[in-house]
Amino acid sequence: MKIKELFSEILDFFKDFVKVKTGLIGVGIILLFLILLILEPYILVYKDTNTQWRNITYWQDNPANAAPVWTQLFSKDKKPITKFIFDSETEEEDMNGVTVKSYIFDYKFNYSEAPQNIIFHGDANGFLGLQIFVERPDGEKFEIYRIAQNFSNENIRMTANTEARKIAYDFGKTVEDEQTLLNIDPNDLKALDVIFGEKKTGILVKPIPLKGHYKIIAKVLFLDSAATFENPYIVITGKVSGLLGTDNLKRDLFSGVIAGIKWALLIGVLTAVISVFIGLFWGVTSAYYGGFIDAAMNRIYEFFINMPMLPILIAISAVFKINIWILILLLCLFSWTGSVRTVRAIALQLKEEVFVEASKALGANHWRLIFRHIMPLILPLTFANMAFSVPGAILTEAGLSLLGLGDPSIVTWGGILHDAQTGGAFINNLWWWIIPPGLIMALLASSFVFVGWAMDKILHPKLRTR
Amino acid sequence: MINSQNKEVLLKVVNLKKWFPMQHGLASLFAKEIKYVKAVDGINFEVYKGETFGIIGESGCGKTTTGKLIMRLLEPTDGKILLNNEDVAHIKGKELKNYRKNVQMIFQDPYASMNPRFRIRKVLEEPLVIHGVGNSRKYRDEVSKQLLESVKVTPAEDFMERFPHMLSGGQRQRVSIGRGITLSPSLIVADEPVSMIDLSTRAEILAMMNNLKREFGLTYIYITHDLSTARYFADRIAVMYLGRIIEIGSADDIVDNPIHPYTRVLINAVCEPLPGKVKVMKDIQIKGEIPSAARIPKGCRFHTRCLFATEDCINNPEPELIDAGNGHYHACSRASYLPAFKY
Repeated sequence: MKIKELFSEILDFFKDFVKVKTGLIGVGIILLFLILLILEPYILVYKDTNTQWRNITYWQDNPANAAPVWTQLFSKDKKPITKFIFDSETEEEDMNGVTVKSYIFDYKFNYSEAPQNIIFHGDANGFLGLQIFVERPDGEKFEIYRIAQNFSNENIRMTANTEARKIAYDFGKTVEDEQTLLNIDPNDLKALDVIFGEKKTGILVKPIPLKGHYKIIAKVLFLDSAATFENPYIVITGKVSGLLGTDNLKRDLFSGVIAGIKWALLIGVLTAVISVFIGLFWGVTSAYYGGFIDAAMNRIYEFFINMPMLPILIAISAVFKINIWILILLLCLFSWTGSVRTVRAIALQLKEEVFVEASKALGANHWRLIFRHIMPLILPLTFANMAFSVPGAILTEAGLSLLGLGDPSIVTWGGILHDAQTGGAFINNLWWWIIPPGLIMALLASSFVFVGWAMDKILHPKLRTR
Repeated sequence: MINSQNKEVLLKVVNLKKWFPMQHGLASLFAKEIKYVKAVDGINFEVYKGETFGIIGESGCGKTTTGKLIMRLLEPTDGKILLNNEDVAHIKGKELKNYRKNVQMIFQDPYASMNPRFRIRKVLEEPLVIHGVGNSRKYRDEVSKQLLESVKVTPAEDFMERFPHMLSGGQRQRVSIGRGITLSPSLIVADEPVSMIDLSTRAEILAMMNNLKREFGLTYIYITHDLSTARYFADRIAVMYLGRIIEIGSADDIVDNPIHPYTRVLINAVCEPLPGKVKVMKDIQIKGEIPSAARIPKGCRFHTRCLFATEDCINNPEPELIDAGNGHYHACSRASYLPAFKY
């Protein structure tokens, strides 16, 4: 019977709710977020985003500062997309008693910009010599990496390094005139731009990409009879990556934004619910008891409402290392005041109602009157308040994280924005690093505001006609 | 007719006062003298077991405050309330809770006296839950159903799951009465129980209350401003004016043979819907408005409105109740000089 009752009440509320369009939009957006939240494990491109966000090596195979992939739809010049190549041809030869294995990877290059990097991976063990070459369609061959080392069963990762830059510079030197060379600092050169550039004047200044069939050859010298080398693959990191690009630490921003949903919702909803319940309790108790208790509770309330939240939060989080739960607690400490005045005003009215007096005449104690008679009648009215205080909590947390004072162990939108600020996203025009987290924050916040408006419209007339 | 000599006193009220201070908190510290609204200003009466005791008077005379004081929803400023010879004026906590098993109240407004969120089942169960009577829901349901039957809200099952707003005023007041008798109290304070009910159902409800009285051995204190229902329903009537009882006696004596000028006015003011008399303006023997309870007139508190008042009424101290025989008391020092009463 109870469930039926509740269901019919919810149905009534819903019937009113669908009449308010803003509310529906709000609920729609919130539902969308909830779906994203539930599907997070499936949507996340990088499954360990939550635990590995601050681990640089986890993101090492991504391009840095790469634009979202879909930006390609709007430009004629196609930028290269990150590509993993696992298939290779293997050649084996004997060189003065040393076994040399060559892994040849095919790479079809058909873009208007050179890739950002070439990364070679493999499981190495024992004393090995490694050489990585790039063979261009025009027959030129560059050695971009070379190492000889004793490995102990580890996954190795090799990329074009300073050596490659020098080789690229030497290659370019042959076609550039002297005047140009004087203006070029070899240390500023992007090796891959040259390696993937047409061999003609300007290659060091403004290289034109040479399209065609490239071969990346990894030569492994087994300098030790027990040495082994397995699972080789290369990653050719592009200039665009993922749905929302990457940041300067090569992190996939789409994964970051998706991983941030749950924290934003958690902070927003938990703070709102806790603080509204505290406010409800405070307002009702203060109104119900009146007299000295009311006066004392009002003074405490005034103390909290007059405390400047942000400066104090900044000070606290600067001095102490705060985590998300403490942060929620602190947010509650400052935001419970939001509903007190309204609740107290309604409770003052309700406590004089005859049914409260009647219950008192029956022998009901204070708790029964407060929790059974007064609070349940005010509770629905605070739902709007609850919806309204969600955005405040989300934005305050984002503000703190933006200042670098949030919980460093989780991925939050504010944290991403903080990284964007310190990583120079504004200066380098990396809009995909700033706009998506900001926009999604605004979207979530406004969805709760919409719901709050709708609830206000529905629930408040009921107060009058109840 | 109840003979006061043979009757057991259930409730005795002695010099009961309720003064509401007009300044609160810090303001009272700085006030030269604290002013009071003297809602109830020293009243005495006895209620006998099994009778219906009517308290009548105009709005603001303190009759509802008296009811709430007896119910102990308010704490008296002074005086005693003796139920079965035990003073309950200042009891607290458990004693008060137990007292409430014994004394119950029926409120004036059946629309407001039930929590709009409570189903009738919950309304009726509440006293049982509060006093921990019967632990099983089945038992409580059974009791609630019986109550609904006895207040004639039938079929009981149909009404149990309804919300108060789904019931008519009369039905609601019946439920409210049912809630009042749940704990089988000995005294029920009925504060204008029928004033907000349709005229057509008033008599029905009062008749039902009379039946309940017989069935459960109840005693009523019937607070009203309506003399006609008071005469019909009450055995004895006390007339209140500005916080004092100015006349008390059997219902028939009060109505047929009123002594105090104010009681006479009250009786004369009752509308008489007789053919041909509808448009006759009656000559009501009173002047002015009721004074504020914060500034009660010196001497006889009725003198400002009394057509028969003399200098003595103003200068002499307020008269105590004067015995007129047959349990009929009044508070008019000039009773013997008044003209004979006529309708």
